[in-house]
Amino acid sequence: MGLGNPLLADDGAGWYVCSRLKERLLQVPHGHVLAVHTSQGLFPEQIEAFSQADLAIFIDAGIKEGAKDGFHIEHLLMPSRADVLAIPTCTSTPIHGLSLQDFMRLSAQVYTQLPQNVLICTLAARLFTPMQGLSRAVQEACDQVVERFLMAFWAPTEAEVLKTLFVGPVTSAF
Amino acid sequence: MNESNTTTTKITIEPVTRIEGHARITLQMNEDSEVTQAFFHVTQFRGFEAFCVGRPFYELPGILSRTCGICPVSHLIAGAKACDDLLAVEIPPVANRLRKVMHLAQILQSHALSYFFLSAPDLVFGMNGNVKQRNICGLAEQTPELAKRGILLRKTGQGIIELLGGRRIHPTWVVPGGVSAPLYTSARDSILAMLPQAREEVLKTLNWHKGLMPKFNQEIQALANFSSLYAGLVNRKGYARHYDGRIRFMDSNGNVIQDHVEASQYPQFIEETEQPWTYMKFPFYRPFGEERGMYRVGPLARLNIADGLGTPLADRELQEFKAMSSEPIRASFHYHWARLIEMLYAIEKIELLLNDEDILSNHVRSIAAPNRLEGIGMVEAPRGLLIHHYRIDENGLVTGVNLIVATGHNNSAMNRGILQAARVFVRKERMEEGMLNAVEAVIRCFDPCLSCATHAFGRPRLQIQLLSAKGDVLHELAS
Repeated sequence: MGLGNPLLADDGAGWYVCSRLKERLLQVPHGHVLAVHTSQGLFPEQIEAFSQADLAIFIDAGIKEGAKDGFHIEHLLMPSRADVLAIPTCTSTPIHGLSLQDFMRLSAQVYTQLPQNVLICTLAARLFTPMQGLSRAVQEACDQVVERFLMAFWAPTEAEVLKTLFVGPVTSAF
Repeated sequence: MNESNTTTTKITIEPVTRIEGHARITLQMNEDSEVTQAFFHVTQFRGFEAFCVGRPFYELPGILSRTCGICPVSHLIAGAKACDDLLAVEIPPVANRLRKVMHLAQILQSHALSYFFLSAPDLVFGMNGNVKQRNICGLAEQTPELAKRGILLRKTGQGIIELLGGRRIHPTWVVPGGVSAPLYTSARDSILAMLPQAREEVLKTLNWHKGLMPKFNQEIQALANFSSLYAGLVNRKGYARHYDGRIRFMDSNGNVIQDHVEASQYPQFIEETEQPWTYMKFPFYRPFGEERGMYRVGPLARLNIADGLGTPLADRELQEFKAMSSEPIRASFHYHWARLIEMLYAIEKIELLLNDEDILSNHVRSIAAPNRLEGIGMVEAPRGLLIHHYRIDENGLVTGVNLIVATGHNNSAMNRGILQAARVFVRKERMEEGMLNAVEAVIRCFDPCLSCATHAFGRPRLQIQLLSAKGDVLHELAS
């Protein structure tokens, strides 16, 4: 799922990656099913598809002080369903979008399941001003991400997909 | 508000939570701790009517639909209808049907949002329930089936909009003169395949809701339960209409006081006034004047004024709804029930429209240049009557825009409603959260769409302050 707003410059990075993937990934081998979505946020209507996935990947732009151009992919250490259900408070409203925490919690509560693996791919952004198009460095990073995913999706098993994609440490989901 | 009066105390509820948009409620209490006045402040400013001036007329449906992310289709269609009026064309019949399908889908998704995501936490946990639970996560934890139903119904409405218009929010498929592309067989079949389950889920929710009502007697009596006029669109037979039809005004005894008002006649019957403490206008029924002209619109008003809906299951539910009283239903708490009946109607009607043999016709747009300098479009948005009124010059550039949005029609009733509820629930100087939630719940009955004004950033936050007449904070609650 590519997240962001393509009318806010680099915030459209996730949409850019997903649209390129849709163009180039005409078929997925080994009987895998790939669903590519774009959205400005996380909403309750998307949870059912998320809950049914083996591997969910969120692609988003972000600004982190001191971060270099490019991208990094985090592998979230998935909590058990019981741990997710034990999260004490709801931090978001369904109108303007859910936090990832609430998104996962609702997946566990309403659809009683969670993906086995969740990856967060963050593209280091430079601009979030109202304009269309990505800054050059971000677009280059997006193109690298697309190539990485295209390579990964040809891997025969989920473990090898993860191995091909995974470049960062495993971090806690919460 | 008279802040210099040393015998009064002011309570502020800001922002009002679980509504679409941001607002503030102020309650004023006298020295006996009785609420004497209540104000629903809409703190956002909408500039659309001003900055559309000078734009080409055909851009307006697309621009003005951006006033809102919840009901953009209503603005899009009202705008397109106003442009149809400027073009002075009859649009192809199939384009009318397709617009109706999209509009009903939006009513379905918007009502699902209001009922399940915003108001159901009050129904499940009660007004005094744990505030940490009164949200979608709490709802999912307590009644996952209900949460799943809400998600499915909203997804169904949004899915239909996407299949027709290419995207769920802010589609641009409805254009002056019709729609921009015909319906494909695959899209029609996909939509038809969604409807049976959606219908079942609404029927289950209706039964659940009706079973709850005995537990909410106090809320039914105290949340904006009073006499008023009602307004909405009906056809010649008196059946409710959401896309077309003419305005019917009904009094609190059920007498039709004005019928079949055409869009062009609305200024004769609707006048707007302003107050310095809110950005939202106060429309009233002009023949009765400001004092007596308060009316309500939206699901409750639509069911009150209508002689029928026109689909079998919804009409059966309407009959049961109306059997509660020989007069129009006064209790605004029943907006929630009315919303469910309209969801059922929307599903049934979409099925009927899509089974029309001409629905796949390619003739979906009439092309013309402007033939009039003034155009008015009118639809029933999820929250009530929506009017777009445009004026253009001979080059087709906009010289004036007036929007009368559904939430605005209900402004007087919402203000009166919070006063009524506050007088029942807010008695003591020491506030409790549940007490104030009951006041907020008045607003949720009407499901105001303040997003039509603007969007706010950040996490909505509940902050309630009890101030002395001098402005000192006596007590504060914050989430």
